[in-house]
Amino acid sequence: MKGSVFNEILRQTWPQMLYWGVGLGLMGLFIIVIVPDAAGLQAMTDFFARMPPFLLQAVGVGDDISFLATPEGFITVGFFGKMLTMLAVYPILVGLRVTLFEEDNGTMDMLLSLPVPRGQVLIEKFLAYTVTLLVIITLIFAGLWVGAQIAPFELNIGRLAVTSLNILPSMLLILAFTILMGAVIRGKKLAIGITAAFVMGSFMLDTLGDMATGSFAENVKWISFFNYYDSTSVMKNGIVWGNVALLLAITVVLLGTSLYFFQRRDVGI
Amino acid sequence: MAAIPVIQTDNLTKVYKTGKEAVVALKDLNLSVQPGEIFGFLGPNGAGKTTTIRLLLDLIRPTRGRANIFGQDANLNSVVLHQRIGFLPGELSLWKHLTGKQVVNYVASVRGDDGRMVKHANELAEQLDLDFSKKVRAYSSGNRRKLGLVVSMMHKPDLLILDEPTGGLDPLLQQTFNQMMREARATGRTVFLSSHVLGEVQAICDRVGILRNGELKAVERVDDLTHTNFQWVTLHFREAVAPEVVAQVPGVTEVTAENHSLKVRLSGDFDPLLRAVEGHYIASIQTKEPTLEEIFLAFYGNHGEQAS
Repeated sequence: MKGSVFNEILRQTWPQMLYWGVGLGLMGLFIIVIVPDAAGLQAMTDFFARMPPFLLQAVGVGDDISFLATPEGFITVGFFGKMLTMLAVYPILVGLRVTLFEEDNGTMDMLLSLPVPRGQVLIEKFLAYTVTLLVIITLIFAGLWVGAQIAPFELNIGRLAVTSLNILPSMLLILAFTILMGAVIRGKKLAIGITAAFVMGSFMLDTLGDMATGSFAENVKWISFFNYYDSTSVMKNGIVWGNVALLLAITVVLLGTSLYFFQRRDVGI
Repeated sequence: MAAIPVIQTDNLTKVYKTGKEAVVALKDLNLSVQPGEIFGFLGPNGAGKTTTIRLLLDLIRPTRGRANIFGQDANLNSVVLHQRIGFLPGELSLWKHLTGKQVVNYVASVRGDDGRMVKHANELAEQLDLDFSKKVRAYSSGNRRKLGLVVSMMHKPDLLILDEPTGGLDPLLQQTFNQMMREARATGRTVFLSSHVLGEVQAICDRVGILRNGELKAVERVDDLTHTNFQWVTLHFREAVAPEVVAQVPGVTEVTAENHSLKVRLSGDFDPLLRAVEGHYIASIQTKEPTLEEIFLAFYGNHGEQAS
């Protein structure tokens, strides 16, 4: 029956989803609590202004150092700038469960002996994990919102919300990439290794590209999906729809490719 | 008009490629299983039994040939066919963090249960003396097997495909299992079970296919198989008789002497044997059908290559 796998995945995953969401939400709350006052922010900005530009890029401050002097800037650099690398572990973990782990431990044989198409299993699992990511992001925003209520300064709640939501397309891309690795590569270790290399490589390329102006890394950093996350732009100006559309389009392509391979190959060998 | 076979395979072949190596797991399997029969698929580990079952369930795809179930292609119509099939894997893996009840509910939900499957699962659990409340990881291997049986039978499938179904079951539960299979047959359902335990095949199967190195060597009725090939003959004499007296008799392949008796393995007619012991006083003659184990060994031993 349609929705059974989706419901079961939600039922199995909700504790982890809560741990991740509450943990990162508390972290967001903590970041807002420790935002310095105006004088403190200015002193920090002055400190950063004395640093060489490549180091500024390395710590995620970016080009516009004056943004760091605002609470939103502090939260963006201190929290959203690190969020992608922190939360990336989650879609990798659950993405491996879509096919690879379930084949590895043998339960996929039982599942696919039931009247359910392979494609439906894959899509329902993807959708279920997408819902868990949405809940995690909502909990992250909830932590930020609580922080904003107790903070002694004004925060743009709408921008906090969209910057939180901006995490989702990148997470979906990582989820889809991990699913593809599980669908194509039979070796568990190899699939995990390639997925980790993909995420870390993208991060390194984006960071190096920002740091080393005029270098090869800067010229090719457009291939890193981190390049399209750009939480600073989102916090300053709102959602960059072009970036979101690109990340979602790649996600759809990766998912379609996963479907193609998973439906055609032997299971659990 | 002849009934459509429940299972029909035509030159079903599976070759696994690992690097430059190609391993033929199943070669040109032509098999037909009729409605309402319990078909035993026999062979040692690595013979190709599980590969056949995985092909029938569309978990793996054939290198060539095809398999039809209920007249439909097992690959193209797998989802529809799986509604009518119950499957118990040989190496049963269930979701370890779920309780037995949750596993049943999950499977029932995927099967689109309206409540009847779960009800029947509870009846089967009672029959097998299985406690649903424990987590799968807490079950013994025997109880996991029972849960697997419940899951495979809860929707009253027209075809049961069971891979080594009684592994881990105690003798009492094997009897219960045998009874359940007979009941399934009595209600017109078909059972395809693989095994290397010939005793269980002998107890419940109508026909048996013997697989060796990926090739089907023979398909026989279990009764016929038991009555073919050879039998054990024990001649009790009044005085001791040397084994050499019968050793050269046509059809005699093994001779053992014990006290005043000679036990021989005889293929073919009795007459040459009786003529050979003419002049010795025969007190009694006992004959014994070979067990399936012995027939099985015969297929894989000296006569294995001629058996097909």
